[in-house]
Amino acid sequence: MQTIIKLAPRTLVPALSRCSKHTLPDLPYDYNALEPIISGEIMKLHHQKHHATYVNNLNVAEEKYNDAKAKNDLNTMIHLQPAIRFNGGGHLNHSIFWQVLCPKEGGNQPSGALADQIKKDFGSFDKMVTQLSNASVGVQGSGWGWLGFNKQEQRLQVATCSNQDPLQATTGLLPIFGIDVWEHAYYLQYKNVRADYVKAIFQIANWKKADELFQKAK
Amino acid sequence: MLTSVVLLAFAVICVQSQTELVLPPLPYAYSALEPVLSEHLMRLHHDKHFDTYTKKTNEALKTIMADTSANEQLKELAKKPLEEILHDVLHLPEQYQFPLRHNGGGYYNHKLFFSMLKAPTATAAENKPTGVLLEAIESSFGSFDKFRELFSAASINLFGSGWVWLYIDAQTHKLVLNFTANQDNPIMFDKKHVVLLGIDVWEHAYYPVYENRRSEYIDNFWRIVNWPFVAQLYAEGTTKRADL
Repeated sequence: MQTIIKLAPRTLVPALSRCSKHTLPDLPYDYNALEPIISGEIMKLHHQKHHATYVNNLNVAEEKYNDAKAKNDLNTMIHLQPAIRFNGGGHLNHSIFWQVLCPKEGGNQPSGALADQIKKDFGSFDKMVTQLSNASVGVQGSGWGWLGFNKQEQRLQVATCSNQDPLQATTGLLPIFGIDVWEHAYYLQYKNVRADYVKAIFQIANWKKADELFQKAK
Repeated sequence: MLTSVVLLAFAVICVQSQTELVLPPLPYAYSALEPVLSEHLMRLHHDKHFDTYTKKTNEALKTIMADTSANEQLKELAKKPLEEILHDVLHLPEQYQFPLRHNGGGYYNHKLFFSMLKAPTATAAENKPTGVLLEAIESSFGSFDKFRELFSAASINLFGSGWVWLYIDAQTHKLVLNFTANQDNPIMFDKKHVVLLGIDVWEHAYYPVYENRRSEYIDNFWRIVNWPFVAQLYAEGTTKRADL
């Protein structure tokens, strides 16, 4: 019996990882750390309620999907796809979002390879900010504004996605920096003035992390 | 003398042919829907969101009138009542469709929505329609409770921003439930749809009171539905559309 228990973990791991659930990642900082740009109240709700709900609903949808797949129930599998897209996208998007934000730093701008690429593809950092801001403010309803990397063409691009459509899956671009423009991301603080929120968020952009994502994307 | 008369007539014609949408006041006090929807929320929803849709729709219409590349047909459409513009909005070229669909739709939806609400009853159960409207709902959905269950489920499950609607379907003449994304309205898809009831499930419609708890907002929404107004829409809709 003892021998079987010692050996079992190795063979069990592949099976376990097939069934493993998604989990809510911790924020890399305290809930209040992004004040005054994003309030602790918003960060708590956004992380503990909204992101957590995407994770929970994704796990539920995936479990149902796996059950349907085991039974060869294609109708149910197709029926579940919007829920997987929405909640899976929500989980992916928010996991990136928390990473590309950081407590406010003075004179916050990218440096190194990312800065060079931004200058090459947009003319200047300010021009990129203007383009990304306009796109993000202009999203109708709920969605995201992204600075993404086009690997085929080796250039940065601004893009928007609606609802929780994940950038890479829906456009092929690799995410470098993103702005959540769902109302829940800013409403309690900025009310209907999305433009003020988008303008302010650049003060808490984690360009170091964005550069890491860029290096990886290249 | 003649020149000034002609100029005055011209100015009058210009003003008359370019009617501007006006932000209508709420049909009740900002605090009237407390505690279901707070005064703070109603002020934001009406004075900020609805006002922005009003201003931007007017801007979009002015842009069309001033656009030398816009054809006469489009300019004639831009002079019509908003409802008629929305009937055709999905057929417009992208550059004109985008602002009109979103802002014109937003204006139309909110004007309707705020009229569909009234001071809350103590419980959802005690707020129900009566007469021919109730019969029509029972006929289409089996029971009023079933209708409410389906409407609530659709509202909870709507991904992102949008509206859930009860309307008389243009083709089948039955009461149907459907949802639209963003600021779309059923009349954009068929001008003969008769909209009876809608719920705004954009986050701004509930966040200041309910935060992320959309289902709680929907549960309480049933306390503020103005069923007499909805019955009026039903009566007008069934008499106006001769084939219904």
